[in-house]
Amino acid sequence: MRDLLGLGLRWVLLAALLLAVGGTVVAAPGGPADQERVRAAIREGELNWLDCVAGPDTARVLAERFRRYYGLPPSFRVNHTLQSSAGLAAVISEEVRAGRITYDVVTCATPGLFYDLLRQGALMRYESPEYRFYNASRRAGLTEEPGYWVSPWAYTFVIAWNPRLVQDEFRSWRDILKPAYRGKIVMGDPMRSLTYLDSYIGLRKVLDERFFQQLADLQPFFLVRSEDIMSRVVSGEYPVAFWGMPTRAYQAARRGVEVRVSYPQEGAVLLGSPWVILARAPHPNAARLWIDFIYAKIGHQIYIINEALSTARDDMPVPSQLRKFTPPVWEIQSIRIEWNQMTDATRAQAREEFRRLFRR
Amino acid sequence: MALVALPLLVLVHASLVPGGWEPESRYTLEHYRAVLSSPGTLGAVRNTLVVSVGATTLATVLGVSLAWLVTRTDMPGSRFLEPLNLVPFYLSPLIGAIAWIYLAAPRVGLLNRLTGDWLNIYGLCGMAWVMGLFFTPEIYLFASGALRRMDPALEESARVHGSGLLTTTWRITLPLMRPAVLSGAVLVFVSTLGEFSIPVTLGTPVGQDVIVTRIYAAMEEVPPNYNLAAAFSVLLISPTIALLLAHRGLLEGRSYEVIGGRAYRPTRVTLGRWRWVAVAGNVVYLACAVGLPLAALVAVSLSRVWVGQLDVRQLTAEHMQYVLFQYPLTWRALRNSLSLAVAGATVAVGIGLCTAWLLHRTGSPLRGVVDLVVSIPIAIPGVVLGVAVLIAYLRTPVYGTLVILLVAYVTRFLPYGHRAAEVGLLSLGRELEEASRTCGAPWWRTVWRVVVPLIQPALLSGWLLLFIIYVREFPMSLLLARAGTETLSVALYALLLHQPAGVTASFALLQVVILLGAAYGLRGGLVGEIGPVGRR
Repeated sequence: MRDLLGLGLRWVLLAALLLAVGGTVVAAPGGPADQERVRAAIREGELNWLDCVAGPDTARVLAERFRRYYGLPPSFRVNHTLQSSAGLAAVISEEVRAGRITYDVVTCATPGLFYDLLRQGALMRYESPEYRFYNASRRAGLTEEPGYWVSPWAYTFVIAWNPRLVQDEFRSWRDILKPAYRGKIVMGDPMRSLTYLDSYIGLRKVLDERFFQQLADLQPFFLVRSEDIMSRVVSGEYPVAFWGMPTRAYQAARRGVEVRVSYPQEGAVLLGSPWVILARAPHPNAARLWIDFIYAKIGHQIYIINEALSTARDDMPVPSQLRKFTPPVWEIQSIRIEWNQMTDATRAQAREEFRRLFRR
Repeated sequence: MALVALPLLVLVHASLVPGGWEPESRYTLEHYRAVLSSPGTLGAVRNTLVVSVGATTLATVLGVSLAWLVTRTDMPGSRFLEPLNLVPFYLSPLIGAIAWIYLAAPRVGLLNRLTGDWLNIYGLCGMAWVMGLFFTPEIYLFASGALRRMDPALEESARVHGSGLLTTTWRITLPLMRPAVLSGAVLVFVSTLGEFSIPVTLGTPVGQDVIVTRIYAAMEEVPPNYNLAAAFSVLLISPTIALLLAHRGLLEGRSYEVIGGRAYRPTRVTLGRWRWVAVAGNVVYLACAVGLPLAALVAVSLSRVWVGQLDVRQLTAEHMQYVLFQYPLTWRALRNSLSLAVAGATVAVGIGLCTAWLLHRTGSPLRGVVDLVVSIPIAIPGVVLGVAVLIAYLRTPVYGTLVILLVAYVTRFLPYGHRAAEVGLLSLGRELEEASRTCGAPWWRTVWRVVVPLIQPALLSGWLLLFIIYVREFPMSLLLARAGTETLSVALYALLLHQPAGVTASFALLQVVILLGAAYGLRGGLVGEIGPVGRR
């Protein structure tokens, strides 16, 4: 009961903080250029947004605040579509190839896709004035392409476990290599997910092939969805997650379930999740307004708190209960990846190596 | 033909061009070489065959047995059990797989907690088991339709002449059912070849890929490798074409006409003391396919947090409340799914009747081609046909609307409409049609006034089957739905991505309730009213 009360109190404080920050920023953006863009957006009438992170609840809150932020009428529609990263890549690739774009803005931790789109001239050049608040993103090495995108936040895959069933601590990635965990580890699948593949490529910089061979000998269970992975940890079906998402542990904590996470000492790959505008977006003015809003403090805060992501905005206060799971990017020991030098060939090679090591 | 041929041509074309799907000046076999030389291909083919053969065998044995027990014996409670035997179909394979994870996952499965952790739902056996359970109703529908239409005089003659129950069943009943059962088994076999949700849930996590998950893996690459997926798909549907040819060969040259111009009433076989064994068998099937999975879903749905067991101190209705009153997609997705299901089932059965009529009542030289063309889509995995339809219609105004989903639905499941009409027509003698034509009725009036009423149960069974399939359809919807055109499965998938198991289970239960309600209403309101042909 005391725990529940404590949890409730923390949420009240968090909500108060959110409202306070929101209240200070919600004074609508000014400037004649902005007003002209707002009028143009109203004429456009809607915005189509494709995402692989934000759930419908977050989308609803963001849409409501977006309309209020710019004084858009209630009839202005924000159409949010949630896809897996692979599904999102497929949809965008098809539309670009066909020259028939239905989405305005896209966000996902798939820089490879965005570089492909950039090479095809499929992205709109736009630099939000809000980008100047993201120096931490640059310092943390998150993906960035001047004139096109900056990563406003990031997520990581680390070790997560159910303390009800596992009493060990995991300070190093190597701590997971115990025979007792044979058949008890659930793991993200790099064969079916770009983000896990990128994590594998990053970890190979600090962990040798032998480590992954030993991990394969423990017969991990492969999944793609981070929520699914965390559900298995929570239920005890697979009490340890290699590449568990702290976001999901935080969400489990909100439901009153303890799942512990550890950022191993060797580091973790920070997966920046930038926003881009498509070159032939059907609602370009609404898209630019959206980018300004989402990178502004109010939009940023709604997103990172609802989805429990690591902020990369310099001036963003992070509530302590969130920080425990997803600290700001500058507090995370990260493994650097040169995102703009990552090619399809690099990924194909890594995938093949993973297939060999794990006998997939 | 254009409806089916266009995406097929797109598929073959994509498998032969070096990259993308734009017109190319040269063709290549490099994608086929890549598929055949891939180290995992052989294992995936072996796994696919093991799972599909196992699932089809299980579904056929269960489906035919249950249909016979319910329709032709004095098994107690058969009127009550009959609609219940169809319930697994409403659960959908995806929901069934999720529920069986809650039941038989290592360590935390509810059954494992009771029996000492010896069940493991993951792997080939688990896939075949769940597929078999959840495809049984398809065979059941075909078999029960045939049994209802069958003239029992033949069986009664055999019994009068001294044949026992088993001999009569083996020598008379089963041969007469063969076209329906064979049609059902072929459909189930090719459906299991293309079934995606169960292998990706129960096989891929333990490294047991099947062909369709390998195809999907190619499409999950960035950028998606449609060419490789298309080559794999073409290789997958090739043996299916051979199977369909063999199937057609089996049906040709045999007479199965059992409906004549006279009325009859099916009689029921007396089982004696075996009647309670029959009830027990039916109940065990229902427990495995319906009771236990639904109980697991309810338990998960009511748990604040699912930790592998039901804790009465943690019971809550908050997940269901969220699904009903807060989840923004619930009602929009429901409206879209129901619209698509009604329109899609009607169009597919209508086209199916036309193609079946063309095949079995005309001498058109196109019959062979039409038979193949209307049978092939079912052999194409939903994800692949979804991509093919997307490419084919991307530059048209239907892209991003419900119409493209309708086109995909009708194309992919046209064989169900066709087979439903075909089964009816194959069992229908021509004398009534000839009488109508002799009296001066044009062919279309003969079809509308004579044929359609006589084969109405088969058509309605097909319509119902399609309606259910469309309401729960997943892979094509996922690829083709856009903002505003989401379906129930797409909404469920979004929940799977971002919400805890309790919310997903609640939405799955909602979907089950919708399907059960629809099926009950439709069967009661349509099929029940009309009844078997022989009673008219």
